[in-house]
Amino acid sequence: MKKSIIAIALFAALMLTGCGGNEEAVEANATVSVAAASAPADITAAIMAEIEIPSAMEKNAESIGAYYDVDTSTVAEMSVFICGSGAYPDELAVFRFNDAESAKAGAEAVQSRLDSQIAIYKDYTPAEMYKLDEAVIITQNEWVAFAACADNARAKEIIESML
Amino acid sequence: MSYNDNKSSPADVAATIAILLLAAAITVLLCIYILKLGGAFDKKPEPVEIPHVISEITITETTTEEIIITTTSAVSEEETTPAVTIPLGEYDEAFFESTLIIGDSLSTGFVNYEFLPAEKVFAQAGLTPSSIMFTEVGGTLVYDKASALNPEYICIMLGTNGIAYLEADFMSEKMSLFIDELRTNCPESEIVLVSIPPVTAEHEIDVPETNIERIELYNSCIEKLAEEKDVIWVETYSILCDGTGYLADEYAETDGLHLKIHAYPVILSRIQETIMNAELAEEAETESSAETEVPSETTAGETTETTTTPETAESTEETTPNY
Repeated sequence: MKKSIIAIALFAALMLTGCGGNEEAVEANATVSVAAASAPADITAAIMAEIEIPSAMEKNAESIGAYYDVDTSTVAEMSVFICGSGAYPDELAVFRFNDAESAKAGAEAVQSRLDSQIAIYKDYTPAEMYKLDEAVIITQNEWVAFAACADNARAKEIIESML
Repeated sequence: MSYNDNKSSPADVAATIAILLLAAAITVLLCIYILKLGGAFDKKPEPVEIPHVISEITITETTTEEIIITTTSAVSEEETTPAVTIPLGEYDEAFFESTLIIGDSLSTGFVNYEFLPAEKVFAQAGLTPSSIMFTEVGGTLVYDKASALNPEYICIMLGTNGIAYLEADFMSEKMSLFIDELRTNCPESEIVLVSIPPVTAEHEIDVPETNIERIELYNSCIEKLAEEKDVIWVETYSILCDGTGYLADEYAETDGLHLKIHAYPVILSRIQETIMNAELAEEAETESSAETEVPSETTAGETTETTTTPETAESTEETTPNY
């Protein structure tokens, strides 16, 4: 009986230690990402470490077509998150295209997506419109980054610091 | 005759014991055989896979027989039980390969959460049974998408956006027109009406116009419409409730109206189950009509067997989903 109690206590202690360790790991990764960007996923991760994207769902090259009219063959890397439930217009998209010319076409596709979202949400959820009205689109060389979230100003800072 | 003459020899005693043991053994074997015979009637049927349907779903002999009973002995519709039971959330992707889902922001979740491909869903935030008829999504009208896809099933889950400011009757009328238009454009497709989900109690406080009373009224209107239009009706409200009539927290987005990822497999499994049962009921009805015209001895025999087994009815009740 004593052995069982000791075993349970040890297990509980290990579990508690494990949970605490994970939280620290997440924070550490976020800090590292902000300091040294190397991929679109680093940028979206850095933003999402600070700003919540509700019911965030990541989109890949196969599913991106439903949202962005981009030629995926011109995309070198991408990281896109949308609000899965459709309740909010929150969205993050960071593309690294093969070249600046492709990035220009990509930026147009991103603008088109923003326009479409504004048209849909302006009557649907006016209270959420500030996320779209103040949305950020940044184009730099082969990079295109888009943020429509609760704190677009902070998202912009993070993007600019990492590009 | 001397005393010694009457006394049995050891060999005789042994022979007698052997005979008695043999008789006892035969008696025991006979009893076991009789018990087994009796047990055969008690034995519950093994699940049988439907050969033409997906492997995860099973149909029991009991429930199949129940359909035969219902269709051949004119039992009332209320007594009909679903033949297929799909555990909530365990839908089959293949079933939805020839299905088009039409809806509002709630239905965008099927694509956003990647349960269905975008080409199988026509949905956009803000759509109502009225606006669906003239709104382009991605530059396409719903009729164009539906006729291009020509799906086996067209599932419509619309109405949430109108609950706050449109009357249930008005939306039902619009839905009726929409069904007619879809039938004109897709005559081969089976149309399916899906109830709209409840909202959370918190949402009802924030937006009193979108309350569960109005949602239930609208659902009952379109359920009636489904009957009038002879389309399949799928009830999903009850499976998303928390027991008090409001949307369960596990399924609710923070706004209390939209749905979290866990809600979608639940809805899809209910849609699949209801459609499959509707198809089976239709098949049974067709068979019944054919049997009425040309009665066969075999069918009559089967019917008699199933109706006289009380255990059959019992197991059928067990397979009835809790609506």
